[in-house]
Amino acid sequence: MLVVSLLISHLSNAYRDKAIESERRAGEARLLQALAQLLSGALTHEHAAALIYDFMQSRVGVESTLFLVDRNERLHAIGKSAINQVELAAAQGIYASGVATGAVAELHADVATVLLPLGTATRRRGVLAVYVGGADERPEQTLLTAIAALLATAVERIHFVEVAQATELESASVRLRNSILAAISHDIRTPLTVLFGLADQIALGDASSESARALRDQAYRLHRMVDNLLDMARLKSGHVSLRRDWQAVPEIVAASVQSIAPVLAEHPLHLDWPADLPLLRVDALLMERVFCNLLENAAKYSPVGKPITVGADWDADSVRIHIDNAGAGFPPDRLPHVFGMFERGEAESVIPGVGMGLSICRTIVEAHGGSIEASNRSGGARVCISLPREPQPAVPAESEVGHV
Amino acid sequence: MSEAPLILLLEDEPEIRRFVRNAIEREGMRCHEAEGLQQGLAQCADAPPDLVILDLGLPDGSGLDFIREFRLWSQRPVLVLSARSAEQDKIAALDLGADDFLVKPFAVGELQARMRALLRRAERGVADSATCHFGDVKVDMARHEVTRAGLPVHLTALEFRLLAVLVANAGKVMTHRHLLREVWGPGHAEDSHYLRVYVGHLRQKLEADPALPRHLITEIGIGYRFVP
Repeated sequence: MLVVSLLISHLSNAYRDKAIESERRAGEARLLQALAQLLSGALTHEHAAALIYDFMQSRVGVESTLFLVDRNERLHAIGKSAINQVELAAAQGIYASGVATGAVAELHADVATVLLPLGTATRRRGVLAVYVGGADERPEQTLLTAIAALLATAVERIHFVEVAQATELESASVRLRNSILAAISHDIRTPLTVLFGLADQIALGDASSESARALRDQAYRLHRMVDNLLDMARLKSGHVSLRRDWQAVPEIVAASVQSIAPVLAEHPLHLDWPADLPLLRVDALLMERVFCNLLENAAKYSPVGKPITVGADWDADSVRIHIDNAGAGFPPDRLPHVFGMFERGEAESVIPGVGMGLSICRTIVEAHGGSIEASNRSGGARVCISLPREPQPAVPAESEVGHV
Repeated sequence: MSEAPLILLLEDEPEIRRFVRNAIEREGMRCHEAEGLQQGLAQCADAPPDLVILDLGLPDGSGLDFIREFRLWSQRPVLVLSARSAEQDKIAALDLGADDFLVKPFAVGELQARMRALLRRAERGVADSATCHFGDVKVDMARHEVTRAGLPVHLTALEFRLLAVLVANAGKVMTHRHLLREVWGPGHAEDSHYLRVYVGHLRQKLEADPALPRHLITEIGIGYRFVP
């Protein structure tokens, strides 16, 4: 009887111990599950550190420090200012030893500390220091290593999020550069191909003046394109210092017309200037570039023989100059983007030229504190520039001026 | 001039030298070439040129030095070649005594026309005629009278003075500073708004289409040029 009762009592104790053990393991599992869930929301290392510190303190009853490695394989404590140098050195040692997971080291400092390496299949990421000496009940080793494993995975995930973001940024800028290069390459290649072909033809003996003229026209087109490209590169590099001086808009426009006369040859030009249009303090050469581009655009997108009209109006605050053509107008869905880089109304280059002319116009006009707008009117497109009007400089009446 | 005019070409790019020489010789003129400042000055010593074509973009930046040196002993015309955006260089060249400029790339025809105009002006010398005709305008420099299609045009004293300076330097680019100093005086070299207003008045009074002038031409960022 005694034996049976002893046996039963022993068995119940064993079952009870097992039940307690299961209970403990289930508790651990719940803890780890909670930790996994917490860490899944962390997007930065700092956030992960804050989460683990809080978790260890509230759920495991211990303080901790997360050390992560930098590009030079040096460990840094995350979210902690005062670091124990001995502890850091020990952590660095653990990290350097190459052990990734599982093993644990003990540091017998003021507070008994466990150092847990954090690593995954790919590589080691850092070390978690857990100050077990400060706990009421020392956490189980298995729990600590399981926590370290979860933390290592989270750290790795965050690392890859950062890599992905950096890659995305870089690839956006690479995409822009590539699209610039592609546009340039395509748009410059066309006149270059024609140039080469014509020149080759002439070299082989077919020296008709028609070929020569065509050659010259292509070279001119290429020259205008390169001018635009250079201006754009200069403007985008941030080195634009405006050489402002008092200028008369009609004079700048006349200079632009002179400059691109061949392009405007097939379009009658109507210039409609109001009397007493105020002088503007602008950079003459840059504004000439603006009008060259706008006039060239107006000519490009309107049928031969149709007029181009330039006019202006003004009030106390601003002077507005518009350029109208009699073409199909801007495609309505592209209107908001007309001044973006490499914008073209038609997808394929039936009409030659890198789509930079309007973009340069906007950059220059805005650098002067002005604005530029594109719109469609019945019968064609309009581009309107608005520039701030400044108080006019005095020109003395003649009887006042001294003579030389 | 008994012999064909001698042009000195100061240019470091061999390909440019080739086609400019070609353009010069097709005009029946002679051409000496130099690649830089020293060579250019040596050529001048050997054979004084009737006209100099000078690339402002010479690698050692010596284009302006050449003009300075040349102007110490010669008033013969100097035509500079330069890039579009180098307007400060062009202004400096003109102020040092260059007469005209061409922006690269330039048409051969344009180059030849400018050379001819500059040589003609040089031959005419200081003894200019007292009257000047352009469009339907006649300017009597001595009497300070201007008529258009036979009818008198009223110009203020300064308007006339400005017109006179431009006409006296027909074909030549006059920088803003030069015009302001000549017409308004040395203290007014920065008052470019005077020029905008006054050139505007002259165009209104004398040009068939003031908005697209044919005689009172703007050289944007540089100055003005009168073309008869």
